[in-house]
Amino acid sequence: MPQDIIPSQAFPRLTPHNHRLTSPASIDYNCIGWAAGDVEHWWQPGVFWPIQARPGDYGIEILEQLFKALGYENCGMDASLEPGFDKVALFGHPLYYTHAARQLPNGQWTSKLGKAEDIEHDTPHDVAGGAYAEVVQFMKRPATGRRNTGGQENERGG
Amino acid sequence: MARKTKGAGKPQDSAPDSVAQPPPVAPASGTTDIRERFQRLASEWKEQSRYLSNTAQMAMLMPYQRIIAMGWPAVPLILEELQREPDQWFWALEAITDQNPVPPEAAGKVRLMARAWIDWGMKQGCLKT
Repeated sequence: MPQDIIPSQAFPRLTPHNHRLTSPASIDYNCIGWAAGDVEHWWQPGVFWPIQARPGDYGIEILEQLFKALGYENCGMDASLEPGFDKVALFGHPLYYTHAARQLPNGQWTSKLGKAEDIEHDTPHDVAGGAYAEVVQFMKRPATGRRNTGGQENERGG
Repeated sequence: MARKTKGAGKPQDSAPDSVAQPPPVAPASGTTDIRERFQRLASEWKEQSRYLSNTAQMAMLMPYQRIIAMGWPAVPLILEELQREPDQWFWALEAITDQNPVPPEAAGKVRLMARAWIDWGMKQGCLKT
């Protein structure tokens, strides 16, 4: 898929120079699953979510709680590459979380764009400013080298 | 991985169980306008939701809300759409039918969730084999 098909209204900060498509589109998983390393499930509170969620809770808080359950801790707005740590960026607002991106070992970031493709992008802020609002926090955990799909390593495209 | 075993995929703020629902019916002839309306709304929703990951946010989009508001006549059309292309129609199906045929082991697996709903639709007579 040509990069210029990603609409600028949804991603006003993406340019041909700051991101690369790394997969075909897929309905099988979403950005939350991708950030957690799972390409087999569409992660959603009340459907597939590793922690209990209050009914009607789809905000940024439930996303933070999710990544805490996966071993991450809040690291404020620090997007730097820290060797030995996995890092994720959380996007959204109190009403809805909108997105999660995962840092790669080379310091680049990877995102699954909804039902569309995966991309690699230079900074987490490259996918902000439109459909996903802004990054609201970063979280990190000691690098485990494993993902959250029952032991399956999923690094497709990322 | 904790999963919701009953009601997986259920919109958590859906209508109470006591709300009476009409039985599922296959679309009657002469519903071309309903089909056209559904297809237009579905197309709009797919375009608007393409880059979204939060199903609740997708379900609040106006085209999706209008499809839910169509009620039972939309069910066979949604199921046909699920057969053609799996997508996040589960919220709407459960909101309209107050049913959830998705088995716990299929929760979050979009194609298996679609299959469960299609099988349900066939059993209910909403969908032809």
